[in-house]
Amino acid sequence: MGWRGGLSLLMLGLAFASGWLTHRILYRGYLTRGSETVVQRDFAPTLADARVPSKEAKVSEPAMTQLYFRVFNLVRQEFVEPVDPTRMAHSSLQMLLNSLNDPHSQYLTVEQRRRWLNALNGDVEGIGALLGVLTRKHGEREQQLLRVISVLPGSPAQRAGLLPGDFIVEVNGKWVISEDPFYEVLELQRAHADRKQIREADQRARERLRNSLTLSEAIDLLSRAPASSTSAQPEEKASHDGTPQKDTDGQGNSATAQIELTLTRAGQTLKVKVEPSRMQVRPLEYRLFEQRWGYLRLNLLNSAAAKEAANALKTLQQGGMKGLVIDLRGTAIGQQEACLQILQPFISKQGGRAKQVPVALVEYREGKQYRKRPLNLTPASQSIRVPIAVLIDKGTYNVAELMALALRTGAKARLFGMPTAGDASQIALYKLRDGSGFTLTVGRYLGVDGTVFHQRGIQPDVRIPDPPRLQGQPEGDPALARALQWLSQTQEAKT
Amino acid sequence: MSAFFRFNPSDLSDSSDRSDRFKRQRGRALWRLILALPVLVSLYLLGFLSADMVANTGRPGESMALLRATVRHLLQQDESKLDPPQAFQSALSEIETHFYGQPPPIDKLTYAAIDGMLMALGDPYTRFMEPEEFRRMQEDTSGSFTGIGAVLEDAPGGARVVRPLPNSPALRAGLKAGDIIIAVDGKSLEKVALDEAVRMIRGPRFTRVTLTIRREGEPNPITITIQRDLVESPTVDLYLDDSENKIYRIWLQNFSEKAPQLLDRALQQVQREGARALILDLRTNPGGLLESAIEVASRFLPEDSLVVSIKGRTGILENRRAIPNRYRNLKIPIVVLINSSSASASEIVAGALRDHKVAILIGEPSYGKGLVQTVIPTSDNTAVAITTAKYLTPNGTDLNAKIVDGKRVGGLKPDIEVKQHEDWRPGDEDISKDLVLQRALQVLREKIQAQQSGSHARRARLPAEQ
Repeated sequence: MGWRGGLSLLMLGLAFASGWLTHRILYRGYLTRGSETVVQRDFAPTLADARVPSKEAKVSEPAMTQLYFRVFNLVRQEFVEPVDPTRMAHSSLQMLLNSLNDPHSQYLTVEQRRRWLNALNGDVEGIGALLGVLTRKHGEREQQLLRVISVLPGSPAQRAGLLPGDFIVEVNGKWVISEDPFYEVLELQRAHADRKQIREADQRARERLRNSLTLSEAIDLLSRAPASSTSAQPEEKASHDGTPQKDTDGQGNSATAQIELTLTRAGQTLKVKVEPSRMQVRPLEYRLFEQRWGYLRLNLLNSAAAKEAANALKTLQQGGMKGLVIDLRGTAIGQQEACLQILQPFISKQGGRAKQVPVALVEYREGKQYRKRPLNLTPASQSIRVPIAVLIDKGTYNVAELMALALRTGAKARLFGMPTAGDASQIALYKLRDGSGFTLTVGRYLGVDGTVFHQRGIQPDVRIPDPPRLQGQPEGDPALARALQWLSQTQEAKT
Repeated sequence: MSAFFRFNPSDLSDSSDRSDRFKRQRGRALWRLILALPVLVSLYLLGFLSADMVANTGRPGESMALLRATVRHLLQQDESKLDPPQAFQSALSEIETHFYGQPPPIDKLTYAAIDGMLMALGDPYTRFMEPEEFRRMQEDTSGSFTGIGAVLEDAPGGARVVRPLPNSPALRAGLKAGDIIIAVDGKSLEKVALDEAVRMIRGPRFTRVTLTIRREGEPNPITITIQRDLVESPTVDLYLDDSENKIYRIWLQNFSEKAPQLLDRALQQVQREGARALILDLRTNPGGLLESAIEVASRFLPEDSLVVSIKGRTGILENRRAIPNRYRNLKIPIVVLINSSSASASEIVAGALRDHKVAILIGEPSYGKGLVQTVIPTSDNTAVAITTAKYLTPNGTDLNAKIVDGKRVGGLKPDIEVKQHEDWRPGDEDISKDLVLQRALQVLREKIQAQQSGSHARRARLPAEQ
């Protein structure tokens, strides 16, 4: 036998070992395959740095993923009817993300995710308002209210007179479910009210529930264009200066479904009619007042806006710009990356040699610790050194707030208008293989000096309470008029 | 394998003699390898399987699932499909590493994801049991509750005792109808709903609960301490609702083990007293044991009649038939009453009696629970209850209601649908508000009359034929 016997033993051993190994690799591979194939950080509207998603999905307790795997397999094999794994995955992620109790961490259907991306490119469907959910607690009673965060300029929502901060209570006469309707019944039961009273309350609650929409149904309804008017109408808003409401003259567009909204604004209830459509938002508009004062209105903070902004600034400078107004009122859609690009020409090199200049901070979690990390940009070789005024209001939201703050600290800009929305969440958008996805709050923005604006908003330097018309004309736009006045004053002071 | 590599091409050019030997050797080596192959393959598989045994807690089938998942992953052509474990794994990992807030503990996240996954099935009974729930389920195997055994109703300031149940701890402790419970264990019921009060009074067997009660004629509140015990709610009540027409009603309140015996006793009395019609009242009967349902149905159905089919994923698993020597050939019209709280075993009996045309159903659509659950432990302290089969009536009607757009659709539809009076409560002595029962009595009276006139006619005809 000798070496031959040894060799055959070795081969037998090898066969066994390789079987074992195959299993381990498959099993580990199965459990860790996750982020490679399923999740890709498709694009992150507010995730700036080049943090590559980890190749291996690491979960601190593999026992839990095994438990999930086991339950799924048992159900697939034993359940009385055939199951639909994709639906199960969707519903599973929805609950998983809901359990985080964070309004920005939500599951998105294929359709919802597509609308997200379209909106970022300026292709906005529905009423043209950014909607959010506000949670309020009164003891045991919890309310989740549908709130208007921002109203896009030239949108149906703006024409209908919606304002940031409005609460949408009813859509087409249907109650948007904001709390448990049976709470009243429970209270009556606890008060030992008589049977009839309880029954009436119970019936009222049932009736209310029968004629209702869930929050996500309402949001879906308001962010969808009617099927008939899906073609984009880019130059629509020019015709709408004089007569904002044309709903009575019965034109050919009878197919457009009007939506009636019941709003509460500062404790008062009002009803408005909105006609959802599909609109193309231009990334920005600009002009030069009196051949001296540049005006740059940023509707979107996306890559198209970043590209156009560079050209616009060049044109304005060639026209002899002595001061600049940047209008961020109602600016709510954008990407962190584009925001930094737009900021770039306004940030000058500090101390001459710095390659990278921080413009803001991001607080993020690492394990149980919170850490801060700067958002840097490389300053342009020639920065714009004219006085800058920034217009803000309640509808200035998220990355737009970040931008206003960075302009104040980095380019000595002065802020005019009203306090901003106050949402400093850094949100990442994920894509799953089938085109659905989810959003996740991955950080919180702070000013470069550590200023917190989450939930507080950014306070303007000059408070101008008149609701802006967003027309970009000094007459009838007190904030813009005031900003222009300040620019000319600083100009005079210099000369 | 190394034996093969020993012969590298440089050896070949040496001499023809050597190359001949090499050919012979190679032939032998190949031959040996072919012989060794099955041994190697089986050892390979053995290695795979033993790794699987070590990795899992020895649950068979899981390694197959793993292989299938891997094959599916390799073949992954369909971009429109998601695999729940993979999607969960990825999302969970992102949450753990990148979510800004402190995420809830990983087990809570997992349970939420599992709940969501099971929710997509649209079946409320297929559910995941977290450790606490699983433990409670294991403790409470009997299914009967322990309390004091009294029927309560809402009253100002607390809960009024409608009646203590016969042979109950409440009766033994001296609780009387009309007493108003104003506090439980010193906690006032002033601002407590009836449901919550009932929950406060119930508790583990043999523990004590102290009730503060107000009793008519007593100036001061009285305190009574009662030891909680198993409460056997009465199962069968017999009523004579129409003495003129001798229409009897048997109210079967659940399908406990004793139900068939008690039903027999009631049926004996009914037959002895010469009933002309029978109402089997299954309203507010939540069900119980399947065996009891089969027994009960066997009283009304001839031997070997199909009572219920049990259908699993792959088809009919079992047909349950009427048990021999149980049939009581009543030969009188029968009506079965159902309402939205008639569930499970009640629906099996009602459906079987209707499908065999033994009875007609009157009342409201039934609840619609015709499912068999199997509880399978998934870890040391969790389990999943899966609906593995469902009940079909003899005609093949699926008893189970589905939830479509948040509304229940399904259950048994009565032959005659009657909307019940809002003030009716099960067990009310006064039957004037019981619109369902009134309708049933009306139907049965008509039948009795038709039969009478029919039998008169037959009797009248008989002499003529003779």
